[in-house]
Amino acid sequence: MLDISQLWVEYGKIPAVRDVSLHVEANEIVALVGPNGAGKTTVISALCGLVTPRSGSIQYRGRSIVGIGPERVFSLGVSTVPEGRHIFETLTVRENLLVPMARERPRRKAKDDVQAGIERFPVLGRFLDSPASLLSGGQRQQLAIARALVSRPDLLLLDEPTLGLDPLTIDTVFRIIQELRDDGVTVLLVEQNATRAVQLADRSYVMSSGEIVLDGDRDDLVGTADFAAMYLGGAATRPLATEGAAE
Amino acid sequence: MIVVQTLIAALSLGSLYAVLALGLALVASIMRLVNFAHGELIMGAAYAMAFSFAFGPAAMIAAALVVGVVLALASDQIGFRALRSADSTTLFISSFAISFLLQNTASALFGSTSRTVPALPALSQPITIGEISFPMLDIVIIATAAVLLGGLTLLLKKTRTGLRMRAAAEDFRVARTLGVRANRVIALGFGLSGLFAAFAAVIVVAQSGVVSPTMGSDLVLIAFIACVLGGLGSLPGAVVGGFVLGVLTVVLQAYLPVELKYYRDAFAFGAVIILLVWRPQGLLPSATAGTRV
Repeated sequence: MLDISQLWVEYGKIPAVRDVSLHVEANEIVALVGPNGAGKTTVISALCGLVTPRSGSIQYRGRSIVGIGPERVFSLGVSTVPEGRHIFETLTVRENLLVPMARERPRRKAKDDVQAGIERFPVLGRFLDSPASLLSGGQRQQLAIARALVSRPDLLLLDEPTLGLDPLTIDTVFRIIQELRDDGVTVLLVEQNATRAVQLADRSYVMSSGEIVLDGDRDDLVGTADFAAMYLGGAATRPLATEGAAE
Repeated sequence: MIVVQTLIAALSLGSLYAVLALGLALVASIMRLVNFAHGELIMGAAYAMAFSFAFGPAAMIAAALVVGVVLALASDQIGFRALRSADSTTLFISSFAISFLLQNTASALFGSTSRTVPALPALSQPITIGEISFPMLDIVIIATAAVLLGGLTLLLKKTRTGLRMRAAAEDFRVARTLGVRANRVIALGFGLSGLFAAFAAVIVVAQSGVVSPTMGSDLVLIAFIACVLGGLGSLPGAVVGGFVLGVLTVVLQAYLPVELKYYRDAFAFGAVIILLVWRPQGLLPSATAGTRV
């Protein structure tokens, strides 16, 4: 479904993503994990069209989506939940859900889509006509995910969906991601909560300093010394080996 | 009686300033760009009125609207579209370039001196109710501004296009990732800005009966001050800023001692500075006056 090959992204002359290649199959959850500044969000920005890569290719369903702009990427069925939620605070919850509706979608159908969004996230139903600024952090995250889903995307890009949330709400978010896969939505999940993300995902990629340094399924990764070094306590004491990690 | 007349005059000037400021704020809210060529949109629309005078008031207003909107859309296409990813300073300089280009083009085509446009006679009539007398033009200005503000509010609150404009004004990047088409929303913002510039031109020409290539310079400055006072990038702020500045100006004109009236604008802008020291972000700031397109 999604193939990224030898992606390079630079901010000015500073490389943020170096030679990244990854792929996502339909109905998979693929996790992209790594520490702060690893380049994960830049990969998402390049995917959703907000950043133009210096080189490399991004193929979605067999066609290049490099440089086509975020509106076109969205219209192809790729929806993004950005890091930090970025809900529209001055709009009501209902209006937030209506923004991604195609212009040509009839009002009645748009209303049905909003209703469907609320059924998955019942907490939002209580605030439908309230300003989104009144929502708590967890509710905002649910609104951001609901907003990305109302357009019925084929591929959902989730950027740090649990950042800053309490443990109970984190459980809710991971449960929702699991349900999305069960409903046939393909998910590319960027997370700092690596252990949890890798456990949930079908396959995972680990980024560090702009490069992919490890990849594999949960059993491959959790058992490796490098992954343990990064996420189970050894990261500060031992540099990550890169030999043979990424393809 | 004087108080009522002053109030009507204050509301009239406040209405004009609100229309001026909204024209500037419509683009600023989406692009974080203060388009200093907005004054020249007003000037262009005013010249359109001057040249269509022989065809009657309806034709004058129609000509102003067409020229205002076309100039606004053209300035976006020519001056800003290629600079979408440029920083704010570049856009700011581009807006000055368009401003000078339009001013000098008008000077070359129509001469640099002022041209008289006969005032619309029906609007010059005074209205007298008991002991109160005020120009009909004031009521027309207040009504025009009310219709424009009401129409804009309906567009923004009740239509899906308006919803997308509000989303884009709050967070353009995220709005784009949700399918809001950048160029379409920006063009709509410029088009509406041109519409407000055209109505401002109609009001200014009806008031003064004069057009000149440089007539937009003072007007855009007033619009800018009103926008900053209200909170740059905030549409409700632009309206509030416009009314506060208009009311302040008229009240000072009415109640300052005769020997100080000459310094009215200095007092008005001094009060604006004090208000901004009190609320640096403006009276009704935009919720997210952060990132630009």
